[in-house]
Amino acid sequence: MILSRVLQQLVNGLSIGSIYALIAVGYSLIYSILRFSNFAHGSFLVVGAYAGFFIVTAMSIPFIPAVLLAILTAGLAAVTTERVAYRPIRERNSPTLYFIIASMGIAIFCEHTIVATIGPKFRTYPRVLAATGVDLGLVSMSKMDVMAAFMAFLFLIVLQYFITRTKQGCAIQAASYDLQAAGLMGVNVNRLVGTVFLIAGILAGLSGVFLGMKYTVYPQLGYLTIKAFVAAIFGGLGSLPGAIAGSLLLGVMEAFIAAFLSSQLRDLFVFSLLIAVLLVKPGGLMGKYVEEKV
Amino acid sequence: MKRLVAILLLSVMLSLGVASCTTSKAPDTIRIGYLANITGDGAVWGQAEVNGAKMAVEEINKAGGVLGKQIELFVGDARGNATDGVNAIKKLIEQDKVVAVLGSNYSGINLACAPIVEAAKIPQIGSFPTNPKVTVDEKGNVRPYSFRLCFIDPYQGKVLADFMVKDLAKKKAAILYEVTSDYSVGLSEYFEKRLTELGGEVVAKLAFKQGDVDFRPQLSEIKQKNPEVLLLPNLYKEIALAAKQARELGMSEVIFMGGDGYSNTMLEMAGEELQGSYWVSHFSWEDPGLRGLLEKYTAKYGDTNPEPNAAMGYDIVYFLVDAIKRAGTTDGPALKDAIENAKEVKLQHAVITMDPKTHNPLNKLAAIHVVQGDKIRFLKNYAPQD
Repeated sequence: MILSRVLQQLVNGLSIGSIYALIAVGYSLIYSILRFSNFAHGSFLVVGAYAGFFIVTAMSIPFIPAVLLAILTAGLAAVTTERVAYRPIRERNSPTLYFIIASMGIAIFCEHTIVATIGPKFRTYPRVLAATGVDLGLVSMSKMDVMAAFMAFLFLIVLQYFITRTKQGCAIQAASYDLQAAGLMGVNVNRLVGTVFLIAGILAGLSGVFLGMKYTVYPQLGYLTIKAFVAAIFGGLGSLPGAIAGSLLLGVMEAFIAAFLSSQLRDLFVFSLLIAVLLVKPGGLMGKYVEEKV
Repeated sequence: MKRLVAILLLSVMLSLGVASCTTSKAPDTIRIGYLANITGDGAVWGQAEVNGAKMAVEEINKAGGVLGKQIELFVGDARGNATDGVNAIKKLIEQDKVVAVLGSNYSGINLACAPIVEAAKIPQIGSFPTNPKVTVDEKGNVRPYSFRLCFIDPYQGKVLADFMVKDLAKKKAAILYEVTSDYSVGLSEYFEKRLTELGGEVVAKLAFKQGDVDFRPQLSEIKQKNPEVLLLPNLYKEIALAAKQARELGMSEVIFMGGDGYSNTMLEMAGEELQGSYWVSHFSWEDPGLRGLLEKYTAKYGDTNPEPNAAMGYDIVYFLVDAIKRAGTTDGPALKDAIENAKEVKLQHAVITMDPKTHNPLNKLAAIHVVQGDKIRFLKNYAPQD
C-alpha cells in the first residue's frame, strides 16, 4: 500500500519534472551564452502550443508531422525574437539588464497579442491518445505522460549528442565560456546565437505542445516556465545535466510534499528547501564548479 | 533657463490637468461603472457580463434613459485578481466619476474593493461574489456600500451537501480546493460543515495553488481514500483538469460535484470525464423566464449558448436603474438607501428583495445542473430543507 503510494507519487513527479526539464534546458542554454534570464522563454512555449493546436485542428496533417511543424514554428519564433529584439542590444554592448527588460517586454507583448487576436478562451487539443490511464498494478499513469516523458528524453539525448559531438556544439561550448573570445577565434557569433535560440525555441515548443495536450492551451500557459527557471537555478545555471536533474528533482519534491506533508504549504516547503540547497551550494547542484559547462 | 522652461511646462500641464478635471466633473450623462475580468482566466465570464450590461444600457437609453439623462457605461478590467481590481475601481470612481459600480463576479476582488467604495460613498453591486464577507465584515456588521445579487457560499455549500446526501444517497466525499481563493476555501468549509451535520464524512481534503495545472499528487492521495463524491469547488479550468486527471489515475466511479465556478467551456476540455457530474448555479438559461433575453442576446452577439453571466450583467443594470429612479438622484448615500430597500424588483432571472441587514437578496433558489452529452442541463431548482 505505502509502496504503491510512493511509486505513484514518483511517477507523478517525474511526469511533471520531464516537462520542466525541456523548458529548463533551453532556458539554461540561452543563459550560458548570453548571461541573462530570458523571460520570453514562456512565449516560445505558448507559440508552440498554439501552433500545434491550429495545425492539428485546422489542417489535416497527421499528428507527428504536425508536432514537428509546431516546434519548428516555435524555433523560428525564438530566432526572430533574437534577431529583432536581442541582436541590436548585443551589438551595442548594452548592460545585461537591457536584455532582461526586453525579454519581459516580449513576454507581456506576446500574451496580450494572443488575448487580442486569438482570444482568452481555453483551447483543447483533439484527443490523440486515449485519455484512459495505463494501470500497472502499483501505479497508474496516462499514455500521454508516458509519451511526453519519452519524447522529452529523446530530444535531450539528441541535444547532448549535438553539443558534445558536433562542430557547432563545440562552438557553443566555447561560447559558453566566453562569447567574445569565441568570436575572436573565428566562430560566427550571430549564427551561433541564432542556433542556440533555435534549439531553445524547439525545446520550448515541444514542451508547449505537451503542456497544451495535458492542460489545454491558453495565453497564460507560459507562466509555468517560472517553475522551470527555478529548477534550472536549483540544478546549476548553465549546466544542461544540472537543468535536467534540477527539474526532475523539483517535480518529484513537489509531488511528495503535496501528497505526504501538506498540499496547502507545498510551495513554501519546496522553495525553503531550494533556498537551503543554494545556501550550502551557491552554484546549484551541478553549477559553476563543474568543469563542463554545457 | 532650463529650469524656467521646466516650471513653465509643468504649470501648463497642471492647468490642463485641472481644466480636464473640471470639465469631467459635471457630466450630462449618468455614469455607471462595471468592474469585470475582461482579460485573464475569468475573461469568459467577464466579457459575457459586460455584453449583457451593454445590451441593457442600450435599451434603457433608447427608452429615454433615467431621470431624463442617458446612461454611459464605463468598464474597468479587474483581470481576475484583487490588485488589478482595486486599481480599476479607483480609476472608475476617481477619474470616470461613476455613480455606482456593478460587478465583479469574484469574492476576492469585491472584498478588496469594499473599503474603497465605503470611503467614496459609491455603492457597489456584485454579480457573483458568493463569499459572505463581501457584504458583512468579520464582526458581523454590514458593509454599508457593498451589495450583491447572488446567493452566498454557505447556501451553495448547503445545497451541495443536501443534494449529495438526500438525492444521490452518498455519504463519503473528498475535496480538492484552491487554497489561494476565498471562494474555494469558503465553499469547502460550508460544504464540509453541512455534510457532517447530515451524517456524511469528508474523507480527504487537499489543496492546490492558483495557477497550478497538475493535481495528480493530490488526486493520487484522494484515490487512496475511496470517496464516492469528489467536490471541486473551483473554476472551470481547474475543474476540467482535475476531472481529466482523476479519471486518468483510475478513479472511474467517483461523482464530481461543484459550485457555480463551472462553465460550458469545460466540456470542450473534459466532456467525457465530466459526464454525470452535478453543478449548482444561480439560474439556468433553460428557465422559460429567460428565453426572451437569450434570444435577444443571441441576435446581438451571435452566441447561442452564452455564460449565465450575460443575464446577470443585463439584470444588474436594470436593478441599479430601478434604485436610481426610486432615489430620484444619483447621490451616493441616497442611492445606497434605495438599493438597500429594494422590494420585489422584477428582473429577468429572479425577483429581488434586498435584505438590509446583510445586503444579500432574500430567498433565492439554486439551480442544479447535470452534465449530459455535450450539454450542462438544468435538472431542477432546489432549496435545502432545514
